[in-house]
Amino acid sequence: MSDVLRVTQARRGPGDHICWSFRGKSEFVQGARSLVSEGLERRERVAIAGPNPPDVLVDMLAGVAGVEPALASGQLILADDAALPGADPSGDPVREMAVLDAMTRDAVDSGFSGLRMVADVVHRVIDPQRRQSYLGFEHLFDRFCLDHPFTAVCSYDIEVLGPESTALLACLHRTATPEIASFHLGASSNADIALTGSLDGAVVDDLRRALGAVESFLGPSLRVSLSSLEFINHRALLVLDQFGADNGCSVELLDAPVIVERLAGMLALSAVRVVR
Amino acid sequence: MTTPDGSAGSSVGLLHELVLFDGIPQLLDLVGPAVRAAIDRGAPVIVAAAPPAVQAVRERFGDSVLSLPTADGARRPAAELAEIQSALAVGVGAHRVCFLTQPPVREGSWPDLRRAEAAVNLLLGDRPVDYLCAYERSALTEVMRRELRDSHPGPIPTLPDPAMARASSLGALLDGWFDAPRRAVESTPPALLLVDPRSVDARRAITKSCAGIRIDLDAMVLAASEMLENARRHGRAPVTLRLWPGPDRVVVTINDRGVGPSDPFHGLRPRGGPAGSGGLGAWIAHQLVDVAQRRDLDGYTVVLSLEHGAAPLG
Repeated sequence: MSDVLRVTQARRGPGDHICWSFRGKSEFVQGARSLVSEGLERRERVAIAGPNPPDVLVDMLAGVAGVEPALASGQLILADDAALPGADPSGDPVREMAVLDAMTRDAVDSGFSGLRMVADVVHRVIDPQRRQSYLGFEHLFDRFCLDHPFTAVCSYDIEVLGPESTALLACLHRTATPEIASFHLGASSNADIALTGSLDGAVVDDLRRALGAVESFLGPSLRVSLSSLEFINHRALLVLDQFGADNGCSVELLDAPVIVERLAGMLALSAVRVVR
Repeated sequence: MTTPDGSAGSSVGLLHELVLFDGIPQLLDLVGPAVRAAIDRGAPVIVAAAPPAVQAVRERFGDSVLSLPTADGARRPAAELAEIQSALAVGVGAHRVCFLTQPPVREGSWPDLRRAEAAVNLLLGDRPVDYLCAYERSALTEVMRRELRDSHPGPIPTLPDPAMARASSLGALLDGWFDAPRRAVESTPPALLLVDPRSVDARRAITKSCAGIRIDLDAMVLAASEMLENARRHGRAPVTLRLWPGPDRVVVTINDRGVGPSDPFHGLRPRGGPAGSGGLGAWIAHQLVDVAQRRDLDGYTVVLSLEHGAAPLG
């Protein structure tokens, strides 16, 4: 099992949005088998999706305890990724939320504790332009997971995507391998977004691009929870300030550590303000 | 003081004067004429000093005297420079300002304190400020006094030629003072030694090494992180970080093999360009912790330190 799967195993459950960056097909198969088995044991409905046809997926899961009865009972679904709106390169991936909402409701109505989706989605983001628009989808997906009994495991082959693109996608997931993404921009229960982890000069470009994922949902202000922030430096604060200035919105930092307030005070920022 | 009314006169820009005193009563007598003259003409009087001195100045000259809000333990030359520049920028400078400062002389602050004193002449040279720097005589060595006399020329004329000549020599002084002596602790094995670390790993290692020590750890972590990024971006590899928890002071050094900053004001003013253009990180570090810098055969080394017991603000 890869590190991110091992680290998150104990607390993995409804509400989690995991970026699993694997290396090659065999690692994917090994991890997917483990994730499916775990979901079945936890009485979740499990959907496995990807570019592979159903017979390949069945072969991949051969020998996993409980797979055959789960397939027969509908606890395990082999989802056809091509039928999901998010897989359509010309379509708006946001339309997929309605489909996922219906799937989640059906899982709960059928007596399961929630829906777990294990998806190999690398083919969705191979095209760089598509990848940028997909960031907005990942952010919405993060919000969806927070609000629904839904566990998402987005699987990206780092050997196909490369470490930089994988890191950008990973920072829009609640949980990711720390070596891949040192910070997370995601949904929050008490703010518009939450920034967690560690933001310094090494990630300012990713932060700038990740903020682009929330542009289309912006109001007059962007409330940012920093309650689980480990660190932010002046360059990352300047990116937030520039984002606010470019979009004509104020950026309100909630639960900011004292050191962040001191730093913001030194920088005389125009759009960012610390809210107590 | 230079004129009978205690001010430097209208034809003069900055008056940067050294006031050496023995005890608070003598300090009040020495600065009294300049402070009273400012109050009489309705000009702001701003004090940045240790709490006993602030209290004494207010008792003698009244509550109209303003004080900078920083606690004594957190007062640093770069922060004071920034605050007085902000005050002048927002219109306090409509009158000739009287600024009385008692710079904090600490083991770790001297190397950059003397640089800041030289920088005041160049950064505020054309501003109408009586800038009175008060030092308790017993806190200074003879070398310190000599260096302070070099950087306190009294009134600096706004006429171009003498100002330029003076600025040139002060600039050389400032640039030549990247020579902080090596601390004794630096010849002992460090508790932490990292070569070319990622910033995130360095921050976590510093936090772990300082567990149980009462310092403003967030300030040290941020300062070290900023200077580490600077070394990686502008210096020459390898970049080495060392930490000594020390019996009374945490010391962190960051060394690279380059020649160091080209700006003589490095850390004493924000360069203030767009994100990533440089200069801001060092200026921030100078406001958070004591900073000393040296250039020698080992390359460029920045020494960050904080006394134990320096509690976080807020």
